[in-house]
Amino acid sequence: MIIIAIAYIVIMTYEVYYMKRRSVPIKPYVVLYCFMFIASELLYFFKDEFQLITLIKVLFAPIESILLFK
Amino acid sequence: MTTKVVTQKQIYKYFTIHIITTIIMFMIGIVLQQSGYSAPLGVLIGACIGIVITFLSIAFAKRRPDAFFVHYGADIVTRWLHYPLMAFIIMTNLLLVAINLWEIQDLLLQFYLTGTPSWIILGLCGLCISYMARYGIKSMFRAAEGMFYLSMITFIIIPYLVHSNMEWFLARGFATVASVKEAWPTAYHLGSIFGEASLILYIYPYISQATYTRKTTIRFTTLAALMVICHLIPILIVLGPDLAQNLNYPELDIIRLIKSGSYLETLDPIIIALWLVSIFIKLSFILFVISHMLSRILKLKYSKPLIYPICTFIIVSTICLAQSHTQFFSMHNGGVSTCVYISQLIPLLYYVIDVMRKRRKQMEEESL
Repeated sequence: MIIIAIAYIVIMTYEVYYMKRRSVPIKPYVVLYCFMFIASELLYFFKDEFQLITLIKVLFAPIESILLFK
Repeated sequence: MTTKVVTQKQIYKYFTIHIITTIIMFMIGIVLQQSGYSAPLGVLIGACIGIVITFLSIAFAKRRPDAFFVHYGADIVTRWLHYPLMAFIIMTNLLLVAINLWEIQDLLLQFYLTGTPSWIILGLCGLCISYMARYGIKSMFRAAEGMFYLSMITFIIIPYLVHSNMEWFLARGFATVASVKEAWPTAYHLGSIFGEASLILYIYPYISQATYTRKTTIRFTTLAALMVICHLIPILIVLGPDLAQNLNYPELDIIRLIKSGSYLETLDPIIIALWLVSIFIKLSFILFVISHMLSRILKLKYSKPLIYPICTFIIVSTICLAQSHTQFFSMHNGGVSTCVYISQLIPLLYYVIDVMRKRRKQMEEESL
């Protein structure tokens, strides 16, 4: 989790510096970065309880089994 | 107006690499498990499915060749429907990148970087992908142009170099065992990979001589299908269907059977390096499409600053995707292809609604 946070801080610093140089409005990007950071941390924190594979299986496996005549 | 930076030749080369690398590197084991001797037939049917999906996307894109789908989609269906659908497509593309990254790290951990923490491998791969994606659409297609001939040489040379190990009596199975019923699961799964060419829709305004895109689609799909079959048949004849379907990476195992000279026997790291570059090109293109879509949905002027954060999010998702190899491969029968198909067929919904609206408008004008 700390590594994810460090990665996001480094990326945010780099991107903010990049956008300032090009005079791009920073605010919407920073909000998006924060949202992504929180999503990443949550995903990592609950990785044992919740896995993407399970979600995909629950949603799409029934349709696939029909289409594959299983 | 958008500059037309992608030529038809670049599309042809890029999408050939895009399709071939994934199937040959990661899908062959799964395909043989499901269809055995019927797999080559499944590849042909899958290619036809892919062509149909791509044609539908192109037909829709042709209606507004100079505008981006993410923009004008909201005018066809309402905003309330457009944004959730776009979010679904973005999520599916994120999933595609995550799956491919997981496969890369699994391959590297098993054979070349044993004992390395997976997050380091993912981080380095992610850095390469996002670096290329940040350079814009031109960079990926130029890289594909450069890699095309090298990749093709290695893909063509492998079946030739293993010909001395072929057990020709096994070839009888293609005539006696193969059936359409057995081939259908392969066709279904590979159809979703061939259908990934429908991503053309999202970059259509960048394509020059766009009227030839259909011809190009047929050309690259045919070449990709032929190349996949050229690898599937030697794997089946050299290893046999029973052994091949129990291997995670049968392609690597036939490379190790090459006995044409001492330096060619150690060919696999070179081939792996070429494959990795090809897959990086593919993943950076998908990453570019994701960032492009996201920036346009959120009405942000630049998509470049989104690439690194999206890539970090994908890496975290990859870590959380699956805990074991068995669990990961169970996913291939668990709905990923269906999810990809749905995201590829969403533009069809827009197309139908757009055609119906136009007809209604015409009828109203005629009645007036």
